Amino acid sequence: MDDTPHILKLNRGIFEIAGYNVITAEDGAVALRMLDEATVDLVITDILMPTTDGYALCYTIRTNERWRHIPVIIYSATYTSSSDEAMALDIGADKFIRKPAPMVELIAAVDDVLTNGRKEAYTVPARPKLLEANRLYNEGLVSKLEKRNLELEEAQRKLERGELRLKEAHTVARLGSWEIDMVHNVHHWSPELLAMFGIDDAANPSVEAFLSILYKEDVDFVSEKIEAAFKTFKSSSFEFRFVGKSGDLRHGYSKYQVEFDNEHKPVRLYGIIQDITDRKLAEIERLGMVNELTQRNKDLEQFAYIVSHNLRAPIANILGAAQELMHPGMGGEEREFLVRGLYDSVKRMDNVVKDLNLILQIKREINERKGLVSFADLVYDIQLSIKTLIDKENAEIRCDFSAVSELVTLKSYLYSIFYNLISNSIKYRQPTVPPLIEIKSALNGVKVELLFRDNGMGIDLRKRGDQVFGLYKRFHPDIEGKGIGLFIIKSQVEILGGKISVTSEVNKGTEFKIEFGQ
Amino acid sequence: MNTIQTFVVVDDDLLNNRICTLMIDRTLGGTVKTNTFSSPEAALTFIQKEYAEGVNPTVLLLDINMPTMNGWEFMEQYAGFDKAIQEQIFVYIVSSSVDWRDKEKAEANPLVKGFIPKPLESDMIVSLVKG
Repeated sequence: MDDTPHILKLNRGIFEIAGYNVITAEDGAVALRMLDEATVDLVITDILMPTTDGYALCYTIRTNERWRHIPVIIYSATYTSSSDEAMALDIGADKFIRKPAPMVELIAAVDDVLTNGRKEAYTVPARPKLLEANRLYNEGLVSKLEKRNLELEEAQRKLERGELRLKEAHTVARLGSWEIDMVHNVHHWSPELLAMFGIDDAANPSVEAFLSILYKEDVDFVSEKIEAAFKTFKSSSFEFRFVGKSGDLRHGYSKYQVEFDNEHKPVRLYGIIQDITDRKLAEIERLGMVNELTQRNKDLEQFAYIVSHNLRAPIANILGAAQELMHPGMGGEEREFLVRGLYDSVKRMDNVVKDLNLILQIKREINERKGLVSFADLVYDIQLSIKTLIDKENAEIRCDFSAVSELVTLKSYLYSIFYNLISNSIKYRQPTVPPLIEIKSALNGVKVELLFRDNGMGIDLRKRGDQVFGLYKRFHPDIEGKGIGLFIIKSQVEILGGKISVTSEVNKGTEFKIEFGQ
Repeated sequence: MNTIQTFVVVDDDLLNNRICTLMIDRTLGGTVKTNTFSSPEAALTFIQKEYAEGVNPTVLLLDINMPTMNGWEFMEQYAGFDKAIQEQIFVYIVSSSVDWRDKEKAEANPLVKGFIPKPLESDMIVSLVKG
């Protein structure tokens, strides 16, 4: 017998394989009842058992006339000292084996006892032997208890060390944990989480408390996520923004799951929240760099295009004209035309090189400091600088900057954008109508919009609308121009972080819309 | 192939057109006629009118970059013309561009015979006439 079920089962298997019939009992008292009912050739018993211990069982067998002849082997893990062994033999055991023993040893002991028997007959142990056994048994129990106590204390220390490490890890990782008891609707937040959100320890954690520290724009979708978690009980995660202790915008990551009871009812919603602001900011910075690189790449392509088309065109003409000039017998008139053409082509080449330089310069001048720029002042300055042109063309500029009157930006760029749009409107005027330019600002959500509307010739956008802002794209070949103005305007708007778009109707006018994000 | 009788040059660049005329005349000794157009629209109208009847084997030298209608847009219109017209005309894209994409695009168009980089040269004119 043994009070540990799996040892009982194991031993049973071992002896059955060795060819013995085995009956098992998990306590001495049960074993005694079995001895009453079955014929037993040998008893193997543990010492430490709940009601009747191994010593007492052995004593009872030896004092009972019916069972006195049954050999007993004591097999113990707790009682292993030499005094334990002596006591076992004193109280009538045939053999004493310490646990754990190899199978072969156990079977050999059983075989030995059963085949060789015993030289002298079993004697009845004296009554005091039982008392002595009892004392030894109790001593064994106490020492086992003490040992267990020490183990528990060590386990406790390990647990505390682990908790401390976990707490430190949470602090380093800016990780907080939380749980909601779904049965009693009790919320618990870890101290790290409270600290992360800058919420007082005494405050009651709740869904509302969480929503209250969120960045306004994220409240709706986070509410939906939480609602879904309570409805579907599915594990999930999301990223959100919240307002930190010092009022700064921070980024968080939430991951959670639901625990179910045996009846598959959800009982606990729990998860972690991590402050991922550093990673997020790095990500945003990286994205900005990628965008800038993409833009640079586009610029390079643009330069390659200019070189292969706009620079190559006058070169081809110079080559062609020079070839013809080299042949004798050309009339004076033809010769003069070709020489003139040579000169024009060289001049054109020079202009393209100058344009390239100008475009390159736009990109280089970003070092200027941003400042608050007043739209009205900007228009006033431009009107002064092109006063002669405005008077000559009888142009009128009407402004309405009541919605937004100023913008933090690079003044020289915004000046250039205004200047080019205004002078374009005058340049591409309708011959019979005096130019009227209306400039308006508007606030659209967080975006500042600038609208430039004129009553000029307009552009036919149906066919080549996508090329309006392209370099050397010209829509009015009969009016002198280089096809570079709108290209530069677009570059400058984009450098200021804005977008420009155009709508137009031929002989009605053109409207440019510039949007700046805040 | 019938002997080339006419060259049509479509390019907004007047200097280029003059150079082409001079070079064709000098190379072929005035045996062919050269018509130059600085407006692609005018060239299309001319072709549609002049090539409706009869047979006039022609080499068309077409520029790509033109402000009001580029060479590809010209070819879209031309693709809609009668087969009888198209059979008389051998279209070559002539461009100052050294962008390989333009050459690729020219070679991909079934109505285009080839891509000629500017400036036009005498040897090239000779081989165009020989076919």
